[in-house]
Amino acid sequence: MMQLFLYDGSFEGLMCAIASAYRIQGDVAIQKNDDPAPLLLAHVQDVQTDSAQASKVIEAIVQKLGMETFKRVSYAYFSEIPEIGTDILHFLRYAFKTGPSAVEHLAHPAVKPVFKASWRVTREVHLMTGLLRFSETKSGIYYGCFEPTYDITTLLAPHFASRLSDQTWVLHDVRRHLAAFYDQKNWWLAELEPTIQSYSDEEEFYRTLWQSYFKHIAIESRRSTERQRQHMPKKYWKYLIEIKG
Amino acid sequence: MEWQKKLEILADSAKYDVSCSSSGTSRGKSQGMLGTAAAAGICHSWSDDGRCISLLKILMTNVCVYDCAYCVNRISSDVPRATLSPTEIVDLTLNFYRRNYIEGLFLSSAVLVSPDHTMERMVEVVKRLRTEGKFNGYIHLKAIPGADPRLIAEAGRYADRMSLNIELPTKRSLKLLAPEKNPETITAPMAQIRNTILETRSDQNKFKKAPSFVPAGQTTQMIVGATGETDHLLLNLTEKLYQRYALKRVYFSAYVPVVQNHPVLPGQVEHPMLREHRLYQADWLLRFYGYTAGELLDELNPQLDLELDPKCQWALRHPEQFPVEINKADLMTLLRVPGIGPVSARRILKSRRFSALRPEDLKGLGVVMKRAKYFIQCSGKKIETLNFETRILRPLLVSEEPLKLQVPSSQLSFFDLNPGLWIPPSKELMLR
Ligand code: SF4
Repeated sequence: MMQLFLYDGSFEGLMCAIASAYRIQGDVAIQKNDDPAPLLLAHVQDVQTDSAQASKVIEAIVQKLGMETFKRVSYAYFSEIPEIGTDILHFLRYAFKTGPSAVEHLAHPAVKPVFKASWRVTREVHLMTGLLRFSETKSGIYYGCFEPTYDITTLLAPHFASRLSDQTWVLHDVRRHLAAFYDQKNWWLAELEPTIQSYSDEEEFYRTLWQSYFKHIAIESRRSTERQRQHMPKKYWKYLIEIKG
Repeated sequence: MEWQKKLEILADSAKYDVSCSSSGTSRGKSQGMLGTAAAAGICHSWSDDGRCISLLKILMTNVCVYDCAYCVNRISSDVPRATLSPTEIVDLTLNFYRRNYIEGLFLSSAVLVSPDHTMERMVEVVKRLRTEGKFNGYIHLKAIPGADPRLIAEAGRYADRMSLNIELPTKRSLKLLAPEKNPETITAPMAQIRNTILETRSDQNKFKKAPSFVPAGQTTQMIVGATGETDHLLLNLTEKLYQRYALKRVYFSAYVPVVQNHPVLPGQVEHPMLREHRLYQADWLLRFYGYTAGELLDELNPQLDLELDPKCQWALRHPEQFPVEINKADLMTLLRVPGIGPVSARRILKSRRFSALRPEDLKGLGVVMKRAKYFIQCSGKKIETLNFETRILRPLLVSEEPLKLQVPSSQLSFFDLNPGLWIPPSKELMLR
């Protein structure tokens, strides 16, 4: 019978589930405990999250397989694709057998799904480093909200911590009720419900300037909404200040 | 005049400039400073014409004392004029940057009063951004031809990238259309910048603290389609520019007709974007694929085929090079296969080490199979058994070009592209 391991949704939880499932022979699957379980005929096991054990797994990946492999695994995890736990399990089994180069065997069936998921996440992170918009609140905090497809707040925060290092900001994933806070020194994650902000007096001024800049920098006779959307899918438009209506 | 109006005029004036990428330098955070620079560049938006917006791209002023025929801002043209003060530009840049609208500033300018006067103000902007504004983000400064070398030297301490526009491909065209500019006022600062970059690099090898000088290198831009030079000539010049001035990029900007009934300038340009696009493709082949200008075009084939990308054009002229064996070929050979780029070529090299690749594996590695299939084989097995004949292959490849680039099938001749052209093109390049 299929053995199904359920974890609490955290990355550490996933690492523990991998440890539990690693040596099981036959059919195995790993899922988050709040994903709908499609498997009627499965032997279900709840995995306890244990930081010490998770650290051991992470250490083994980093030391035996290298940072690149760890990065791929963690990025793939943030894709939140329901099957990704199982995919990562198969990938890691293959990688520990093959060595650090496994991550490059992109055409191999054990590698491909993880590579694909991590690639998509990487792309969205890169896109959002550009598309995220901050607005200055009355209290002088720069507040930026977005609704990314993947759970990328953790991956995006370091970029802004280094780029906007001398300003206080909040990066808010409105859909997941998750935010990264930065106090000009450190950043941390915390839950945050959708909120309504009141903005500083200058905020409207710079927004208007940005909107007119955006309008005037386009060459009207070469209008191409198709190309614009291809690079900047419509799902991201909601929070783009330059695009109205 | 209020800011918004000025910004609109000066964005409008800058929008035809194409060299706005923010790439070429990587800089982490620096204590107490605002900003970083990302090596690969970041797009912050895409405007309604589908182009990436990365830098705040504006002219400092569009008030000009020169009269370049191809330019909307020439002194004789009747357009609204505006000038932003250094304080205003610094403020805009910082506030846009803090809101993550932009990657930095791309500042260019018309010639206000004189080249020195203009350049002095531009230097003031970048200096104040870096010192008062503690701005550590990206700055691209377009130098003014004819400005004092000392100003160029100072600007380079603050800017990440500098550029001088070569403007037109031949001396004759420049003389005809931009009589106040002469080739030496463009190439002398280019040489100065190249030399200072080299000196700085060797200083930095000796002492860590040596001041930097345009760390992202210099670029240039030329107008395409205003005068009659062939693509062959343009690519030759491009290759020379890369070799002689160690440029990071040569940009092509399709001419936008600004005057009617001009004795030299065409009143209309057909498919300007398409020609520009083909030139960029050819330029990529020069920079990243190991092609030479002479391989891509020659006296007999002086124009790029608008219907087909230059790599396919080259491949069709060289049947003896194909099919390429995916499981054996080296990097440079793989790169010459239509449908394979640097990323997919490297992926092929990596993943074939572990097992021989089959045709069905290639798509997952990023190979565009509908092009590549005619030119490759996997472990001795061909994928398409068509005869390698231009007559047969060309229409197939043309039909698979991305739709938006397809040219209406009417015969396009060079003169269709340059309808207003009556002077015979000269061959004396801007560089000897
Ligand atoms: S100097 Fe520059 S702005 Fe002035 S007319 Fe010539 S191209 Fe235009």
